[in-house]
Amino acid sequence: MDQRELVERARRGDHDAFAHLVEASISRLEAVARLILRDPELARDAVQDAYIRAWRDLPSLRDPDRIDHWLHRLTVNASLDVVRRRRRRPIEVDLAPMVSPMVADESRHVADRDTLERGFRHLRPEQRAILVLHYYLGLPASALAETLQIPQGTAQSRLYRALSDLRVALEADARSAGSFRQEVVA
Amino acid sequence: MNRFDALERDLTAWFDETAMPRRPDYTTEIIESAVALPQRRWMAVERWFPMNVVEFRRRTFPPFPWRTAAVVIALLVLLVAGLVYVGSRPRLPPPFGLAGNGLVAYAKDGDIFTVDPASGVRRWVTSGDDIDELPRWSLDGTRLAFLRGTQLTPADGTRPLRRVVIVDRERNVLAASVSIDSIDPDAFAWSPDGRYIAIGGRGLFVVDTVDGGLRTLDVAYQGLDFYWRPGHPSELLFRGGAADGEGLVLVDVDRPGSARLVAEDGGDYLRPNGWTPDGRRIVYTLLDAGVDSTGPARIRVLDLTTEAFVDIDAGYADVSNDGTRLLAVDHAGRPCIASTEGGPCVPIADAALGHEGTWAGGTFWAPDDRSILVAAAAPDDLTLLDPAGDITGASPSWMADGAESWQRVAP
Repeated sequence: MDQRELVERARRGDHDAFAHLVEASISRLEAVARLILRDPELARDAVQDAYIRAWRDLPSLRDPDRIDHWLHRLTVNASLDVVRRRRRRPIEVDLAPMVSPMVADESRHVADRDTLERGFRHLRPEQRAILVLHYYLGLPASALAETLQIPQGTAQSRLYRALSDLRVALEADARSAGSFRQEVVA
Repeated sequence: MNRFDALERDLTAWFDETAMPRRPDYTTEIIESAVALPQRRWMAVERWFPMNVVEFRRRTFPPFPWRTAAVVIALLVLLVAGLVYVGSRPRLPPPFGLAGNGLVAYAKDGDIFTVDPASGVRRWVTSGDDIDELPRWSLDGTRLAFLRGTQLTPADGTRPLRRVVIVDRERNVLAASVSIDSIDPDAFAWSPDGRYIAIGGRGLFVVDTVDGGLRTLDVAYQGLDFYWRPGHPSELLFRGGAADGEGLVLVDVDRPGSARLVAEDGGDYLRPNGWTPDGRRIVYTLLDAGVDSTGPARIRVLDLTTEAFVDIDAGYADVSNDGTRLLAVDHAGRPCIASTEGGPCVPIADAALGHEGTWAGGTFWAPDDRSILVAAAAPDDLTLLDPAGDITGASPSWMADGAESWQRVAP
């Protein structure tokens, strides 16, 4: 059974068809939420919200072929909603590495990853989302526009701005690390 | 490759490494939660008819009264804005009396969860290495308090140290107390206005929910459960001693030295069971002190103002939210319902579904009083009872993992 038929059946209330759609997409959507939120628990909440919304609103999905874009949009929106809801919640959960490092030069790699992590956390959730959609899912600007429901030009400029802000954050981080080293030496 | 390109490359690699796709272990739970909800119906006309049979006619209309319409629209905008403002303010339930049923909180494997009985949707409230347990909703349903410890039982055999942690509905941590030695998990109650949480253990403690401050009351607390007085935000009823004897003691936690005996043991051993929601009558169980408190129990409903009382031939009462009924245990061990005005206690299920009546967390009425949650012999053995006795022993799937505190919401 192809995806289109699964969507059609799920739209008519078929639980099994919906379960197949979830199984086919949840790994990807959970990773997207995890990257945006940097917290597996919050990602779980976001993914749950996204699929509940998907099930409830499936009958309103006009084009079954757009299901992937639609699910991406629901996941991004659910992730941003989770961020808004948890405004004052302190970070209490350790963000343990989810996979083992895969490069030989481990010390340098971990340092790079930590730097990226810090820089990425400086971005607004909306900026994280567009970077994840583009650099993780590989969505081109046209698909970003469709997923985020914004004009393509706006999507391109937001992507450029997010990347620029990340670069600024990384450079600031590097300067901070340099001054720290100088203090230690002195 | 310039620096910008390098950043893009690094970002892609980092994403790939830190978010390797995996099938979450909660996938099945998400599917079940989602499909348990109804789907929205799509009402666009082309959903039901082929577009080529839907006819759109061009019509002519009389001149539109734009000025009048603008005034009407402006008034409507003002009206809607006012309604939105009023509607945006959260409606809260009263601290006592009937309320609507909200989320049910429970602890499992050291974490706190909530489940929505209407949809079955579960959510994590806490996780991590700490042992979190005993979630209790505030009476207005806006906050959740629980105990947090680092281990279940210390290696030296002493009782574990635990803190009281208070979170709001969005899981923001609002306050946390210092560690408390030896907490009785049955003795844990929010004050009517939500300012305090009383905790029993080696002593009677009061936690300030605003800043987590902890103090020990200077009273002769003798263990067991206790009950805040409705309408009196700082008065607490507990079993203990006062200058004039032992029995049930009422203390104003904000007034040192205010403890006074309101019901004396005499030949019985008294155990507090609660208040009627008007804060006038106390409900307690009288046990025959002469036979190690194992003789037939009686329930007494005592008016503190007039000292009038009624006795009911059962024990271990749990007062309904509206204050008209008591869930109790009859002498055959069956859960039974009696009126707070007196009369027989009518069984609603057989003894196997009854609670033992020995711990306060064993039963609680749903906020709307339409069902009673009973924990029987084993803490995980949960049953939902109908106070009318029409349904006995229902165990809905939403309570499969636990149910310890039912959130009150605006009716």
